[in-house]
Amino acid sequence: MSARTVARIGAVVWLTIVWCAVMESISLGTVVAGAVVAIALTLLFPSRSGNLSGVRFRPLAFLAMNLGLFGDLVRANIQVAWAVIAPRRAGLRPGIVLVPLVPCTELVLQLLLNAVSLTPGTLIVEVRREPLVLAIHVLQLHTEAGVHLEVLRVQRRIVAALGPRATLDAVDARIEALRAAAEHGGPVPDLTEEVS
Amino acid sequence: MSTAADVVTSILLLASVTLVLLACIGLYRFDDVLSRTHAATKSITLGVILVAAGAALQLRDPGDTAKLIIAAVLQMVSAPVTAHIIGRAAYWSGTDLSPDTVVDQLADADVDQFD
Amino acid sequence: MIDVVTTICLVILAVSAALCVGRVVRGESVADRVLALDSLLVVIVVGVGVQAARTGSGVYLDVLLVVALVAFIGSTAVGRFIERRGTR
Repeated sequence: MSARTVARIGAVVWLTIVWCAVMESISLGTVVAGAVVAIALTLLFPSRSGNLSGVRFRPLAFLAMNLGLFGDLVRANIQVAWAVIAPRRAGLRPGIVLVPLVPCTELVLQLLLNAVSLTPGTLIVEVRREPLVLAIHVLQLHTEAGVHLEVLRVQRRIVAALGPRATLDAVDARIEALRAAAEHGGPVPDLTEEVS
Repeated sequence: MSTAADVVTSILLLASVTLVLLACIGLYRFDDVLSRTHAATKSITLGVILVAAGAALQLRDPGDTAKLIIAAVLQMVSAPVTAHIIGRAAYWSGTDLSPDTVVDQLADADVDQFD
Repeated sequence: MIDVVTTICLVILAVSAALCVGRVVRGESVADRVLALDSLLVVIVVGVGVQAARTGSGVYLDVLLVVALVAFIGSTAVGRFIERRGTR
């Protein structure tokens, strides 16, 4: 059973659960009707998740990713609350930064886009596919490298939970390269083309 | 006579409503659309999650709790997408950026490379 | 206690809604107005949630779900429209 079939069945199950929850009953008729609607929807709108072959699932890392996501959301709210209440001129230096990403699977990318928007001070403005670059609007822009590191941190968490080992190593290598460049005060290095 | 659930619900509801109020004040305090989008979407997302948690404690019917969970998950998934689309639309339709904007690397990049 | 707290919450939400409407009226661009409308709809969602907590009955939760969905779809639709047309 390929990963795509598993994903499709998972989608049908989830949609049927939602159907039953909204209808507030789990009688046989409701479940069957829900399943029919779910299957019809899954066939009509196939998921564009692309190639699912690189997906791993590590439960502990997955839990850590979700907790981290929630923690980021709370921190983001604290930052926003501070910016609204406190003398706002003191903190706000908005800017738009282009961040090239370590290539990753479509699933990781979609989760990453959602997660970055919920991270303190970052918001996705544009996504470019070939090569993979994000344009990110930042509320408090201190250093460009800081933004890159923030995105990488989120990406690392997601790849650790759902991505192949090779991508995880590539992300770590990129983090190291950025930190090294920051030590010397040099500009942000280009993304090396070593990941297949 | 208030039970523990009542106290927790009260805290959650007040926190949620405060976040929503801050988001709406943020619509005025920030200079440009992109910054306002930060405040609106992040605060409101957490606000919906908190109010769903608070209301779930008060409801007697488990079916209602399922609906609240679905609403919270839906909000958490859709808010970043809304923020991105509004931000992208605002940027490409030429709204003025805040006078504090330090860097705008997007303006230098080629326009045709974005889909 | 729940009654007092939810009354306070609803008053605060009313103020928030008024702020959103103010931004819709004053908004400097269409994107501003879309953002304010989306926020207004979510204020409604939170309001329905507070009301559900107040009465303990889930009668209006369907409204909550539908409003959340409409907010998302509506904002996305208008956002894509602005992007193509580029109006102010």
